[in-house]
Amino acid sequence: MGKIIIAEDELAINKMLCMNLELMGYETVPKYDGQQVIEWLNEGGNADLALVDVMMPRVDGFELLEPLSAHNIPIIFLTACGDLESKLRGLTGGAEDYIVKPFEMMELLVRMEKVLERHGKVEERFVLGKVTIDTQKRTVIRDGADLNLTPMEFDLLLLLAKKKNVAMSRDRLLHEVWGIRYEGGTRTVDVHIAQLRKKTGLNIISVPKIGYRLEVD
Amino acid sequence: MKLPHSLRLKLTAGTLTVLALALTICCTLMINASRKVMESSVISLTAREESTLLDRVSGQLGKMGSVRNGKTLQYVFRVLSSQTKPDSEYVLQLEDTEIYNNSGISPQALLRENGKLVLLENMEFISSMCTIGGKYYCVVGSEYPLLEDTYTISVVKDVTVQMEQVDQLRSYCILIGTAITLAAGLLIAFFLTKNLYPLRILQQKAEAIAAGDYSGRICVVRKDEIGAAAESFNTMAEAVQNHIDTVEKTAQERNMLLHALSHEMRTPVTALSGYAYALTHMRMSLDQQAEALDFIESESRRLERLYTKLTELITVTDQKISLVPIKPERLQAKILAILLPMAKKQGIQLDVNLGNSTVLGDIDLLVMLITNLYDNARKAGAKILEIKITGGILSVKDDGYGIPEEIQEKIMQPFYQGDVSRNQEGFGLGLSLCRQIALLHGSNLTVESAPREGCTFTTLLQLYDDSKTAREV
Repeated sequence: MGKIIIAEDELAINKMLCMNLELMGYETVPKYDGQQVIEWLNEGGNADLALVDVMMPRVDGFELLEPLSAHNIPIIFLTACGDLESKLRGLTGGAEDYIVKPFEMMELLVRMEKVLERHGKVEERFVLGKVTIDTQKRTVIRDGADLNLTPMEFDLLLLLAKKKNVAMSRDRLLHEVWGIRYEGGTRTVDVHIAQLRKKTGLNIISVPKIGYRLEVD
Repeated sequence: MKLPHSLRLKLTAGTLTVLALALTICCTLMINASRKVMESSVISLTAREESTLLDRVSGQLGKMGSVRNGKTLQYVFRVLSSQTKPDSEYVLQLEDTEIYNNSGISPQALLRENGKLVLLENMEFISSMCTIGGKYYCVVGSEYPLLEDTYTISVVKDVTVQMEQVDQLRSYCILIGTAITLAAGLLIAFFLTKNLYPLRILQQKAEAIAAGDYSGRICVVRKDEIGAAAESFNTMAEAVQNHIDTVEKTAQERNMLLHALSHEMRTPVTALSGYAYALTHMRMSLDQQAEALDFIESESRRLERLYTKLTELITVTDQKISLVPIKPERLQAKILAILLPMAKKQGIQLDVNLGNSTVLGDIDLLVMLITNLYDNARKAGAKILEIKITGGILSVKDDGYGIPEEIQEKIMQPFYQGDVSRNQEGFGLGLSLCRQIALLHGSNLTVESAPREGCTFTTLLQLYDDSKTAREV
């Protein structure tokens, strides 16, 4: 899915981010201050995205803009400083995005995805056990056979695959796959999920009070 | 600027009205008196003339001897009439018959109507004043009996000239009265403006204060009521300025506190929300779940400690404490009870000597103060801690890595944490709490330190004097 470097000096937050991202399938590299990041870069470290806390001891987040950009690593700032000046400084300095703490995990994940997409770091293939999804050809192969999913089914499966092991609400699924103008209820989501289960044999479980989750090892 | 003119106007108008009224009354009285005097003198004059006339008539008639009758009277009268002064006319009447009258009026009728008695050298005459065609006449007459008839001989005098003098007097009075009133009006208005000007200044300064400029004061030169008001104004302005300063300062401090608090809360809240998200949405192994739950617990506790410390700080800041005598042994016992076990576990050597003097204070707050200083020393890596009270001075000395001079003032600000270590357990509130407690005991908390040379915190406690009683702060 991608390799993310996390520069955050608060242990609790750093661990929390690593845990969540790894559960989603990202590879994480935790660092606890700016100096460590620079040393890591000098040793040839590379990543697809950097989550950087602005207020760190020794070398702060803003000072990392240049070295990270030089290595073509896009940056998302995480910080407690919500004032306009800091935001502008971060964004004009070259950061892709700027999120203020406390933030919703979901929001961070979506923004990360967008940044990765913009930088062309998109998965072309998803391998889910016996099922393989090809995002370019828009095909889903199981045991060598094309499952011929409908466009909606494909989009739904792709969404679940991108967020594998993460539960998503029916509303979210409806919104992302069917679009915001869809007038019908979330019943259609249930119907399509049922279809996907049958056709792909994948383990799409119902998470009580939340929604659905594709579980893959 | 809206200076209401009504007071000046009212005062001026009021005074002028009174003045005009007084002048009018005086002048009227004076004119009336003059008129009376003039009338009286004119009547006297005319009466004298009448008297003279009567004498002459009697005299002439006497010369006539026995031929004294109406005809001769008439004749005599005519002769005398031709010798009158230009402004007088002599009139001879018999009952209602005019025998000789060039005056144009009927004295008899007039005297009968409103004649007044006039006494002149024991002689009685009847007099009256009248106005005909714009001219004033004075009529004095008397009865002149001759044989069986009673004649009326009168003098009608044109006294217009004299009476007109009184009229002129009235004109003068009106003219002068008006002039005086006008002049007075101007003087009063000027006087009022000058004296009410300070009120304008008062108004300006008051408006300045209302607009937020509390520095304005009035330069007081007068010693009268307005001066007194100005003095009071200055006192009030001073009080207002001080009060506002205090209020602003308090508001600023509170703001800073709130700002820092919200800042401090962000981290644990972010962590909590993130772990909770993972637990509800993600597929996690049991180990991962356990780790997440661990963090939730520790971050929650962190929030709780933050809350407690903050509440302590706010309570202590707002508190009014009563200082009671505290025996050093009692304080020492309490401190050792709390600190000894911790010091043993953490390998810190305690040296506590609180002296022999009884001090004034709140024992729980003092314990809190010393405990927080102990904590601070521990975090600074101290191995030895000296807690002493000598001559009222409480000092806590440690051998930790000290505090550089540049930040010595900052460290006691709420939420200030040293740059280098974002210490997970502290929030930077401990020292500001210590300062608040020291201030409540009547003195500031000071620090002496140099990098790597340890740190000494000092504050002054009041000593208990047997002759004084404990008082509320």
